[in-house]
Amino acid sequence: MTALDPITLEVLRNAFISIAREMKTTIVKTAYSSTVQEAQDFSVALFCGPEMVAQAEGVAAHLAAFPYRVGKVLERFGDDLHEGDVVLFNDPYAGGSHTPDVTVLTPVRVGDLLFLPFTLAHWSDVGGMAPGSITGAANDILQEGLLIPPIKLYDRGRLNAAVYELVLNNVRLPEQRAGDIRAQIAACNIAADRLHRLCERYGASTLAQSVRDILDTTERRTRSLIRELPDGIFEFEDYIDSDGQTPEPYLIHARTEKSGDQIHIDFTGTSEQARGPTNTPLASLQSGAFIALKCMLDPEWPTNSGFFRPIRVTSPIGTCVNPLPPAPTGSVWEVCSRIVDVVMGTLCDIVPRPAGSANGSISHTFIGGVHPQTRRGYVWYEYPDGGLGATAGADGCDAMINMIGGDTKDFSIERAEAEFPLLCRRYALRTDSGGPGRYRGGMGLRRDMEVLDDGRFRPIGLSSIWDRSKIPTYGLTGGHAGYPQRLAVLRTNGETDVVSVELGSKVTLLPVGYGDVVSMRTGGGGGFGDPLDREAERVLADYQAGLISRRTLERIYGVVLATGDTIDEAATRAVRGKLRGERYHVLAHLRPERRRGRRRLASLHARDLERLGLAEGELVELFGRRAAPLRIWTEADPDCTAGEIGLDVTALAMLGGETGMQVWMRDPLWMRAELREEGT
Amino acid sequence: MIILGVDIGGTFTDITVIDLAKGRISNRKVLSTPDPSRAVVDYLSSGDVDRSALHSFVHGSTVGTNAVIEKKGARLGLITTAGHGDRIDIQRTNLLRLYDLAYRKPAPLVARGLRAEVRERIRADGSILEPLHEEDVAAAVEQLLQAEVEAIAVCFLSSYANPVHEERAVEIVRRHAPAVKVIASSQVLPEIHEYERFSTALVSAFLLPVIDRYVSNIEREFSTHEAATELLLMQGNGGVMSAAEAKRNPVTTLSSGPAAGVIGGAWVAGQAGHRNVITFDMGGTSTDVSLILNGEPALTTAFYIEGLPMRIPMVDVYSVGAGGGSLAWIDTGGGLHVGPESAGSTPGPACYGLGGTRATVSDAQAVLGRLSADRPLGGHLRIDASRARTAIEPIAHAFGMSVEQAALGILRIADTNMANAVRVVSVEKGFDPRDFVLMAFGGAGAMHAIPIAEELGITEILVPYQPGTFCSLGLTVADLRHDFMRSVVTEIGAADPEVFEGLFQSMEREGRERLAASGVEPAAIETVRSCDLRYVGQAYVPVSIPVAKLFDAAAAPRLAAAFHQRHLELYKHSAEGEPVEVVSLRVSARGLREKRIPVDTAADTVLAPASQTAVFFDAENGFVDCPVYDRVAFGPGATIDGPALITQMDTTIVVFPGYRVTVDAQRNLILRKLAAAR
Repeated sequence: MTALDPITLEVLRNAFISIAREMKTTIVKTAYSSTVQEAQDFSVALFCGPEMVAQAEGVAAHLAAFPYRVGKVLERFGDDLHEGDVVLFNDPYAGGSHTPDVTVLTPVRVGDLLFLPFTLAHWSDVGGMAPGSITGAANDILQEGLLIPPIKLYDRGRLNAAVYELVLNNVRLPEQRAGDIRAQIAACNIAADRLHRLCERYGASTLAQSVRDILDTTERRTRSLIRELPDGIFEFEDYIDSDGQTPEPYLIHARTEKSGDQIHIDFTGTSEQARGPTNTPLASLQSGAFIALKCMLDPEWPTNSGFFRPIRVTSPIGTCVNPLPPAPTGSVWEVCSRIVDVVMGTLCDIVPRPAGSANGSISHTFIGGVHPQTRRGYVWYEYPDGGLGATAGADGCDAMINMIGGDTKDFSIERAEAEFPLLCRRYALRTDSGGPGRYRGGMGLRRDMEVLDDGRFRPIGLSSIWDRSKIPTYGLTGGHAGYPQRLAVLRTNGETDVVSVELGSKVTLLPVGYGDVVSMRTGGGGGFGDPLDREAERVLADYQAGLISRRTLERIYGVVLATGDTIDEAATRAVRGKLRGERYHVLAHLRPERRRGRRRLASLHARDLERLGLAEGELVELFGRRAAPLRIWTEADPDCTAGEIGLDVTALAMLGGETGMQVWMRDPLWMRAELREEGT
Repeated sequence: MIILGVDIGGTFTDITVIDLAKGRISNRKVLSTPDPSRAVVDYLSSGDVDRSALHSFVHGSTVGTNAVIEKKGARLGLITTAGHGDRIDIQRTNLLRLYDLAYRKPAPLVARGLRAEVRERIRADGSILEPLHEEDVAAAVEQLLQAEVEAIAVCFLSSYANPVHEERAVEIVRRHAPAVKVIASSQVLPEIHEYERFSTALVSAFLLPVIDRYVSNIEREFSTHEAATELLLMQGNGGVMSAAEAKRNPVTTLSSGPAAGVIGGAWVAGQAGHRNVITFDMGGTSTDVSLILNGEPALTTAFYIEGLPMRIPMVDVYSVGAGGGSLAWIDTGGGLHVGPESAGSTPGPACYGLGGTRATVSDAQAVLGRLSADRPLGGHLRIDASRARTAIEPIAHAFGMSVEQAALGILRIADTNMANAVRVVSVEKGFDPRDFVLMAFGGAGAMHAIPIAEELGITEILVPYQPGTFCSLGLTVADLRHDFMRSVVTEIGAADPEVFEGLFQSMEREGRERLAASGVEPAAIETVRSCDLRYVGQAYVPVSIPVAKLFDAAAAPRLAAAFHQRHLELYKHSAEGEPVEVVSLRVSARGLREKRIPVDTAADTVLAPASQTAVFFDAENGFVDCPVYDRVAFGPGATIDGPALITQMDTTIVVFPGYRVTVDAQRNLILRKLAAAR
């Protein structure tokens, strides 16, 4: 069949998107969990067979993994999918995400076509070892709750009561879950109704052709955008702080090969799968890579499967980005966030639109118990947001979900207090947290929740899956890191328990008592450009607004204030010149690769370490010829000449240079003193 | 006795004059002035209207909306709960444009340095955890006074549950700073969700001096000339209010122009015997649609201005970026799109000859002969179809089509986008558009009405007498209105009817008092009750149900039954066995105004075309000969069959072949498909 005329095509493209949006509205208005409704941690899309035709604004990381889930459903049921069926499943190994992300979809038969309205909602609990289901201590996916393969909850309109009861009997807050299932089914039913009407109007064969054309036009558009980029191979890497169980980082390494109108991203070199939950199934690895490419290539165009066609994402099996069962995947979004940052790091020198510096984590935080007043069970689940990376030309967004999160909201204080035994003591931007730069990274925030549950009905504890606490976001072209994240419990006796930074702020069921305050302090986005190039007026404005401290204004931005908080222009010029002059440069030289555990190492003369004020084995940040910095650990090497840095061939490639290249070396943790003062 | 409706828009000021003594209705379209009250004053001084006979002056303007858009409001201070001064920076942390690294949040209306935190805390149940430290409030006022703020918003956590701290803080502000205007969040909207409530209050506070100045200017003008004239201002909720009310809570003036159109639609359609109407108001850059059910416009509390949420009830006007000026463009994948980018009023569509070169929806109409050169647009512009052709040619060329086919395609895409907007207000709310009349107005509404009705299966279209200035007509028929709400959150079975009845009555009392203060006679006051309900455990407030007078023991089960039914209609499922929860009680208090629109019957019933022109309706027949009529001649009872163009001062009605036009007693045009007309 020949392509549709462009007018009918545009009409149907909009019709499919309208259906997806209406599905979203239905869930927002009828869902039971506040996680789904208040925070909008859910996504919907419309499929025709295996192809995603349209999506509504939702969680970006869910959306790009949807095709894998649908693939599994089709593989499992083949032609045995009928109107009135409702398919339920959550198995991350059959399509990405983590166990609480539960899919409900229904088949819609329109002529020969099989449409699949698809929903995925983050249930605030699916059973498992701790309220909220996902937690740092898990080392087997079965500890993260029910594992549901694609099954039919309804078969041609008839409820499979045994399955339904089995599921609800094994999750916390079963009434809420039942309500969420109803909301998800309602969204699919609305879509079914609209699809049948569309078919009456246009006929199945026109719809079929429109689906093909919608995908083909997106593919053509994507290929033409890729073709405009220079060919080449670009590598970059970053780390996960820890799997929550041992204080060892995990390396995420990407190699992006751009050739003609195709992109291939391979993750060979990435660390083996984690014992803890910092693993992302292949589908969510691909999802992270797609998000990065979508942001960099084509943010405006409606997303459908056509975008994925020119892009290939691969990883060896058994890595933390393509693990084997039974590795837990609770921390999938921390890994996925890092994948986005790493892929952007590979391409930030060649894309024409402004690249973004690195973003923070997702930071799942939970307390579950029985409400002392209402005696109802509760699972408090939220994810305080950090700052976004700055872009060329603009400061990063303050307190904003990172790129994988999309249209999900913070938890309203008044809603949280009405639903949970909690009181919000403070909700504020975290001073100095945005990575300094010519364009400042977005600010992280501080959210202090006082616990008003004495555990009389059930002992309570704090669980968290955070990251970016040890290795902070990176800046671009000289921009600094944003603040690392901190999670602490401020005890009633005045003591502060900081959740282990070495474990990436991950903890399981840390006991908390009545009156204790859970203090969530999220990281900032990376800066963009040299902070000494930021207009002094803007630095002063940030200082006067309380976004940066006097010390940062002076020490990092090199601004000198005269009395009355006016800028002393001459002194500022002088100080900035001096700070520039003090920057530490070393000359790169090639040597064989060396690692300690999963850490890539750079060898340095002890004198250079001393000059930088760093102990051996600490992390440094190197800027070479590329926009993104390389994070690497140091080792003192007596064979190394003072003023030189020994790097392996991959490290040199990531810096965009060769032996003899001058490298700017610095401590990424410029905020050590500030963190000490913060008490974290 | 003259009633004047004046609607000030960005480009034009629309005026409807109703002279009850002479039984005449007339309208004007004049250019807006930079100081918007100037246009009103100038018009009043022009001698066009007999000021001694002026009884009511009803006014809607975009002054508030523009002040927010241009960030030209009060130098604003915020007093808030300790620890929460940054709430308005943090906002809701959602990335609305999913993959857009350049997305930035809207800037808060209060600079960081103009926020003061005070010690106080109220729990979710309304009990006091920490009393208000009054000395903190005094110090805050001092600090804000030194910073020379013009207005202060008091926004405390949990004030929806107990406003006592906010009220006390307002008193302290008034005492220490009598010259500064002050508003509290619970006074604007006593509803849970602190960010949305604070945001609504901040916008209102931001507008306090702006609206005060503006309204005072107009009041001054009246007090020197005609003290007896009643001055009323339009609100976004579809009601009007006194000048004093507008100064008290100016956020209510937002979106009042579109609301006036909907109110006018409800009234005019009601006179014509239609209670269920979809209004379709198409202008140059956008199209507003809304739904009227049983004569009542639908309301929403999910309104945003410049990205800032406003949670007060507003007429639910859904707006899409599709208007006569919407640009047609081809994407890199080879697809054709229309809008949302618009050519605006400058350079405007190519056919206006004001320098525009890119193809717009109006150019498509011009190419098809539906906007020809000898019919000036609103008396201001002449149409140049050859420029429109030149603008559309590249698109036609790209798809290997004729220019006419490309023009038809542009219109079809624009029409389906607008039809999708109608679906949002109807189908998505559980209503079938085929059960509604489509009421088309605005400068371009009547050109697109037929294809949109066909797309939706609507069989009857109503074009009011003066569609180009219809919003100003709506002003003259709006009632006074104030809306109240109380959060309750109680399972319906556990609701104490006496408590609910008491809350309803206290809201009704407040409504009556405020209406009486605005000069409404007790007999003209009407109050309407409703409840917001949801299933226990549901997170959103999905359904609003009207409540009869007197909330007694029998009311609860009735409400529950109505709720299950409505939930099923809206979302295709209900859960009869599940417990239902009352979330809030609402009262709308109205002061009914006399509404009389005279019908000018000095017109014909036998019609002769003023001229003939060639119009392209479809590819099959190409250009066909088409009579052109002058609307002024269309008297009650007249009828013609399409194809035809009917022109009037500021719009053209395109009657497709196969349609019949009849004129009703109010001189509205009724368009029906001929098969249906027989």
